[in-house]
Amino acid sequence: MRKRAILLFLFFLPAISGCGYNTLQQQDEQIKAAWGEVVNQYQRRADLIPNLVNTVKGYAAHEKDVLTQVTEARSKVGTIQATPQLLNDPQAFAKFQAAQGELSSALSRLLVVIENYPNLKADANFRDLQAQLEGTENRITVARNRYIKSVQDFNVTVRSIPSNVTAWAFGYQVKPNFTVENEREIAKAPAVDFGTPAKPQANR
Amino acid sequence: MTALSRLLLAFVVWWLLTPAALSAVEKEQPVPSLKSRVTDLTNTLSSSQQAQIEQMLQAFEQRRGSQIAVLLVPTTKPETIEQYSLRVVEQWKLGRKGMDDGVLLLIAKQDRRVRIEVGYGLEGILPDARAKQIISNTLTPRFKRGAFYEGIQAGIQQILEAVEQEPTATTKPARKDAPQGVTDSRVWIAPLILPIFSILFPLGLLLAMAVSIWRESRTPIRGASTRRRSRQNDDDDRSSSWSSGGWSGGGFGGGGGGFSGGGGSFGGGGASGSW
Repeated sequence: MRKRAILLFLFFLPAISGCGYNTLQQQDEQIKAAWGEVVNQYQRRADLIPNLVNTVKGYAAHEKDVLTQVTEARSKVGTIQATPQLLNDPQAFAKFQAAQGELSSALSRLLVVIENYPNLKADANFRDLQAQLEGTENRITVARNRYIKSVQDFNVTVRSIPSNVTAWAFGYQVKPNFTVENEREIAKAPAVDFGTPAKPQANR
Repeated sequence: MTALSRLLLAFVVWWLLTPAALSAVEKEQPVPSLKSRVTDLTNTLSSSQQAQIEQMLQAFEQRRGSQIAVLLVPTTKPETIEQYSLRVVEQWKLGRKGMDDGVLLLIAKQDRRVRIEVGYGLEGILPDARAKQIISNTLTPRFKRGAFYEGIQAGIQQILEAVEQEPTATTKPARKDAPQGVTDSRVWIAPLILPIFSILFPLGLLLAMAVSIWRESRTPIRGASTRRRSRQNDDDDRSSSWSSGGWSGGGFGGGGGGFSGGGGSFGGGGASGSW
């Protein structure tokens, strides 16, 4: 009877402990990879900005306010180190997201101003830059969505039975996720303008 | 039926139903299944036009390995063309695995939007600026006139020219002859794998353990070893028949059509435009 009990216990053990710890490891690594991609794309956007500002200055030098805002937002983003440690610190994460959000707002304001300069819009260099910027914004969205998904998977594992026991035992906590910024701005209905073609999404 | 097996049956039925219930609520445009390189859901191109473009793309794939596809849909609403395009390429997986050299030319005819979606591996040779140029200079003027076939042909020509310059492209084929067209069925199967392995198997084992112990306690110890062995076999048959029931449902729907994705991945690169 005792031999059978021991055998039973050994049979149970892999079934229970196997489906907790290893999943957490795998999902944690996935989060790190997804986060690396997000940081990569944000960096790519930051790298485009100096070129963009210079091109715009060539045509719209007296739009100093907007250009300064963009440059300042960019340098603010540059001061925040986006290390993997950020993932374990919700406050630092929120700061990072806020800084990137400010840069997004400054950029969209700049693009609105540029609508008044048809010569600038026709400039080949500017059009290339605009294409790159739109492409980068799309890549940021894709990277964020993949990160959000990987964090969701991880958080569900950390919170479900029985893996929440394993998570608690090894000190895994739920990771911070991107929130919707500028909720009021998104709630505002977009201005419909039939004269100009569709603008890139501005709420990020 | 014992209470436990009824509970198990209820669980399995619930799990199978949940994805179906959820998908009925979404109203996104469905991603068409990948059967050929040119998929036209708007009846814009005649079959000979489709065949010509198909031939161009097939020859290119045989020569250079990159997979380029064309998709025409009426609309992508409620999603933006970027969101829909990404869903398509994530399901179709154009391009070779590891090299990620796929390109999708997506035209949403009623929305008057067009997008060139570029895989990770080709982002260097076909950057966003170049894709945008192809759209603005080649596609948009022709689409404005309604010359869709001409536009697609000229646009594809330019895309091929750009990809041609990719130095790392080799003639390694994107897929072997074994039917890899299980993309559709794999998407269906994936939600079943986790519950089968993490819940049904241990539960099946548990059930077998419980049953065998209960029966042991009612019979003499002598001769139990032979009975236990036979009961183990029953349990294996039962759990394997559950799992084979799950797997055999997914074996269809793949091997048809001559074209399937090579496993390439995309990161959202490319450009969009309107006309």
